[in-house]
Order: sequence, then C-alpha cells, then structure tokens
Amino acid sequence: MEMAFDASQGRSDAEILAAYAGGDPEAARILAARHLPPVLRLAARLLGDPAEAEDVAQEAMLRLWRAAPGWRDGGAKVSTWLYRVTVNLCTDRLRRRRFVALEAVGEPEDGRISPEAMLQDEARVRALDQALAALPERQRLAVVLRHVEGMANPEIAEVMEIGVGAVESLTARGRRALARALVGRRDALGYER
Amino acid sequence: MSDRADRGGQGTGGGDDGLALFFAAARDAGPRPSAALVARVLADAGTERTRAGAARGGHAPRRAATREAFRDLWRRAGGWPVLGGMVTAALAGVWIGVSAPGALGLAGWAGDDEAAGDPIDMMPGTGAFSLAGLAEGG
Repeated sequence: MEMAFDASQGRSDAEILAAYAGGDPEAARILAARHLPPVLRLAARLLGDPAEAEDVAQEAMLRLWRAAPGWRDGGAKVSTWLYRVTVNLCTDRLRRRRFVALEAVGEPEDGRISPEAMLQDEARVRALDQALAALPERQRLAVVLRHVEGMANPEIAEVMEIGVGAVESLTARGRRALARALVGRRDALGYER
Repeated sequence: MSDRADRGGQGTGGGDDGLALFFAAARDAGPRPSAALVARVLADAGTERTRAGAARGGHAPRRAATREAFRDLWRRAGGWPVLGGMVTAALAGVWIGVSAPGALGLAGWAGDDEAAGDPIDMMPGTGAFSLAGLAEGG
C-alpha cells in the first residue's frame, strides 16, 4: 500500500500535529506518511526483528497521537521526539531479551556473500547489518542515526540524551569497528572507489 | 568534526574507510510499512482523536468553568480569614443550639417575661438606639 501523498509539504510537523489534535482526520495520514517509514526503519535496524520493529513503530506513533493535544510548538521537533521514543522502546525490548543479531539477520552460508546470488545493494545492506549487530548497542545506535538516518550530532545527542562529545566518540568508534569488519568484503561486494 | 549531517562521510574525508556505499545502500533499503501496519497506526490515530475530542467537548470545559466560578466567589468573600470567622460562628451556633439555656446564663430566654421585656442598651449613655432620639432627628 502506497503511503498517502503528502499534500501539506509547506506545513511543519507541529502545525499538522495541531491540526490532528483539532480533529483533522487527514493530518494523521500526513504524519504517518512522513514519520512511520523512518521510525520503522530505525526500529528494524536496532532490533533485527521485523515483527518487533512493527510493534515498536506502532507504539511510537500511538504515543505521538496521545501527545498531540498537549504538544507545544517551539520545543522538540516531532521527528527528534519520535526517534527518542523509538530508541527508548527498542532499548526496553533489547534489555528484555538477548539480542541475537546474527541469527536475526542471517549468516551467509559459507561466510562470503556472492555478488552473483544477490543484488549488490542487498548484499551490502546485509553485510552492514551483520557488522552493526556486532557493535555495542549505543555505538550501533549512534552510527545508524548519524550515517543511515543522516541526523546531525546535536539532534542525535537529544535523541540519546547524551552530550555531543559522547555522540562523536560513539560514532567514531563504531565507524572504525565497522570498517574493520567490512574492509575484507569490499571487493566481494563490488565496492568501487 | 562537523555537526552538519554527514550521511556517508562523503565530502568530509570520512569516506576513505570505504563505508559510504554501505551506508548509502542501507538508507535506500530497510522495511517499508505494510498496509496492515499503516491501517493499525491510522486506527490508533482515530481512536485517540475520538478520545481527546470527547474529553474536550464533554466534562472538561464545564468543570473548568465551575472551578473558576468557585475561585471567584472565594476571592470576593474574603478567602481564608473569612472562613475562619465563619467556622467559629457556626460552631458557636451549634453549641448554643444544643446547650440548655441555663448553661448560657440566659435565664430570661427560658420564658422569663420580665427579663424578656427589658431592652438591651448596646451603647449605654449615648441613647444611640433610642426611638425618641431618632424621631427628633428625623
């Protein structure tokens, strides 16, 4: 199902959220179209389980609907707030279970991904997900928010409720660990400079 | 390190670790919301909107107006000091009501016609409450 076309591109998230709180039924569709995909993507990458990721994404959006009547414009951005809720929900779930990332993502059968068997992008994503799964939780989160979701460090700091310096340290260490894990696979994955 | 979002390390020298293409692939990949998930999310939105609307248009505004009316009455009446005096007066009234007249030292109230007929001069010597004085003053 295609997400509804966002016909309100000129309106801020806060304005649309206020419209939703005021009873506008279309506002929820617009907000879901904007924010459900990145929330789901983040949850999937953190949890490694599609079903749990959907549960978390639905819960995060539910909390947004409940926060709408009291939402104050000028405070946190809706996207930042949603990311923070998503991260907290994922963290709660990860603490309740042992995170078996490699099993969830799937090991290649012979330890080497064949470019002939998969599209190059799919292979890179699988390799990256496996390498991410091996990182400590907060490094993984910082790297995903920075380099996959494209968030700036101050926003990541707000989501993770840490300082900007801590974000920089986590992303730097995480990125070095990923490079070590993936450098040997670049040729096999069709990486070209 | 720049605070500006650096999506894949491109342009800031961070791409030499070879991860840029991996990150780019990851950004384009990832699960898409299923139709079922979208339906659940929008159903939740409808439920919460209905719940919030009921709270807005039902009891909440009426209760707020009532509270405000009581607060205004309270301020006009004088607030806590007045309440203290009222409580004292009320308790005194209750005590008077349940006590025998003898306990109050008011024998005349029990039906002593002679005592009941005597006027009580609230301001002795002034004649302030004298009817004659009022008639002359006109």
